[in-house]
Amino acid sequence: MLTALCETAAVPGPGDAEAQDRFLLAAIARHDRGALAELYRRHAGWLTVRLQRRCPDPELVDSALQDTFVAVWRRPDGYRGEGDVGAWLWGIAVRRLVDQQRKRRPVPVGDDPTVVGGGADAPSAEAAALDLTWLGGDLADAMGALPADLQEVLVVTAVDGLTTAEAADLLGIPQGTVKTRLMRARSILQERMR
Amino acid sequence: MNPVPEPVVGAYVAGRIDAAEAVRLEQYLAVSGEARLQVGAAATAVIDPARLEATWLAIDVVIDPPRRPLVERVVTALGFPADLARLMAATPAMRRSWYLAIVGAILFGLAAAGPNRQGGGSELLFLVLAPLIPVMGVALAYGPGVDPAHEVTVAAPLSGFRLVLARVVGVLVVSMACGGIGALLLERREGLMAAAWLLPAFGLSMACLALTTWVRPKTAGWAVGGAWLLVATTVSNRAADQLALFRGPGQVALLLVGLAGLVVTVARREAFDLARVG
Amino acid sequence: MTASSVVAEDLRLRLGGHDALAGVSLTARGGVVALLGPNGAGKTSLLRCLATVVDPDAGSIRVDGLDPADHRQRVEIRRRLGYLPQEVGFAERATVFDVVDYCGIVKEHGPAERRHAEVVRVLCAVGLADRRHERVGALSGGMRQRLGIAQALLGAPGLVILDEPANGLDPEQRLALREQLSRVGERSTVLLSTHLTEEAAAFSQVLHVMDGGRIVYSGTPAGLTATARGRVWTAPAPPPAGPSIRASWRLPDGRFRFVGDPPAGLALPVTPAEPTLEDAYLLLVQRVPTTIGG
Repeated sequence: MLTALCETAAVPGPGDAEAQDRFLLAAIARHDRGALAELYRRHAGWLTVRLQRRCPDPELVDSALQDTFVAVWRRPDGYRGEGDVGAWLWGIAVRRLVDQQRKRRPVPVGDDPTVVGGGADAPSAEAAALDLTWLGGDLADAMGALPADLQEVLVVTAVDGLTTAEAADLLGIPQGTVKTRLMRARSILQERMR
Repeated sequence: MNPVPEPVVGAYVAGRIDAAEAVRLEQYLAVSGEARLQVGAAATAVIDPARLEATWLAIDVVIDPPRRPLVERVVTALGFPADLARLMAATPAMRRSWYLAIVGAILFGLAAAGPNRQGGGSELLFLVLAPLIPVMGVALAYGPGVDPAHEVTVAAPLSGFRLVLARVVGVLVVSMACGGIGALLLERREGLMAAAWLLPAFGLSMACLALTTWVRPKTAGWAVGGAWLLVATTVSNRAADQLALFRGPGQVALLLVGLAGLVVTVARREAFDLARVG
Repeated sequence: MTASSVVAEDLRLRLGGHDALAGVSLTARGGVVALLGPNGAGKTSLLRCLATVVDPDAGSIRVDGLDPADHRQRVEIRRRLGYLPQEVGFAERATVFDVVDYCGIVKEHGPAERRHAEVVRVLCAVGLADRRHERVGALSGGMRQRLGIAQALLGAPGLVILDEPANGLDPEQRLALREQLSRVGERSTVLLSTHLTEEAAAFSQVLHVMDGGRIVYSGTPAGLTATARGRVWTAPAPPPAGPSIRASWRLPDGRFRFVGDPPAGLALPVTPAEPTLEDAYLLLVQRVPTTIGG
């Protein structure tokens, strides 16, 4: 049922996946539903697997995936040509998952008075918590030294690029806890390097 | 760009992967289309294709919304909520046959009011026929024998009375508008009491609505229509003034009939929550 | 939503001068429960009462402890209910999607976006998703029936009542329906009716046989078959008609099969036969012709 894209225009050859993705986005901008179907066919699988790693509830994952492609349909020009289309898609998908989690379990207001209002109000604290330059080159190598709860926080911030507020919503923990865990991760890793 | 070793992809997809390895793979996913295709291909082992298909359909529904029927678009354009519009548009009366009947009734009235007719005959005909349009609409608005999905609707939590109200209001608005146009066309030629049919229309529709709390809607429509024609012909034949029914006392009587019908309908509103069968 | 409990006690309903229900009691919770019986046995009346669209003249119904005789509680029951009436129709000119969406509105399934997702889910479940833009008038009988089933599944209700759901379905679609209902029965109570014995046995572990406004058997299909043990026979010629013989019919090999009790001193040599569900059903149900094809 996923309608294959009509090969009318100059479709990039099968070898160049990235060029094909960009071609599809251009077609989506012209309201070509077949192009969106094709983009979905190419990306839904790996996005689902990766979303599922961030959230075990398949219902939320499916909703996030749905929202992702609806967002792509509405704003295909959101892709500015930086990096892979796939990476851009993941950026949307993981934030839609955050939105789904927010709807499902709103973090109680006032559980952490110091961070109410989120990162926008406290840019310096946000930047400090997310300053990951200390990780050095290899994030993957660092993971092994950390307990599971710190790994989790590090993955969604350093790999997925979420803000501490988004990470808090995704993981269902207060924002303050996200920051504390990042600090702990930092001190453990610095300890290890010494 | 090198392909990711298959065991790594397999472990990742199955969720049995070491944290460091997972991070390495996910960082690679951001830059390698080939890696994404690998994971996507392996995903079929753990994700039911039907699930992805269902999600695609959900997307497709959102980006390709079905075309709203005309009635719905009109009602929405008037500022009513889309859900209410859909409930109104599902009114069985809001079909081509009903509109045809309206046009027919008006044309019939106009033809009868042809230029060579003398006296108040045409006025009388119009005044007697026009109130039957909303009665017909009410009789075709809701209920057994009229709405094929009646039992499904009744078994749903939405109050039957509220649904009936929404539909009847829609029907009344449309029929009043059509009747009004007919009245204006006629008035230009005849000097009609343009609004004299409004209270009869209200009275008869409400009487019909009240009756539907006891009997099937079509039965109620025939009963009210028949009674009206009987009364109207009797009065116009016996009274000195053909239009006596449409002057002061007649109007008051029909207003009272309408109010009584409304009161009865409200009092018996729970009848709309049960299916009458058998 | 979890499976609803259904308790009906001594339901009575008069329709058109006869007893449509003459004292029916039934309980169900979870799983697929089938009502089996000839036309006019009272299956539809019972399902209508349980679906809260008709009030019984006497007797009581409780769904999850809620009483449909009370207006508020009835509305609450309806929130947990999916219902496919026996003769359901939808506006011919409306599209498949619009029809189910309309049902979603009267079932108060919340804001449009959520509801539309649910509509898509049930349309996928019955295999009509790719026909959602088509008009109802263009659907075949089997598709219309599946459309009716789809609306009954909206919102994954705790109680699903289906009057003759297999009507108009071809064998393949029946199979799909069985599989689907057994899945629905894992988390809902499914009550369905049929007039076909094999269908009833295939659909459910529990069945109630109705006849003349009463339930005349409740139990498993195997238990029903067992009730006919020792009362099914074959003979080389048709047995003489008599009150003790309930039905007899000619077999393809020319012999005759009959159910009932052969009268003493019968001259025919009769052989006991292994009973089937149908034999047991014929023995239970009164209004069948005593000779079929004989």
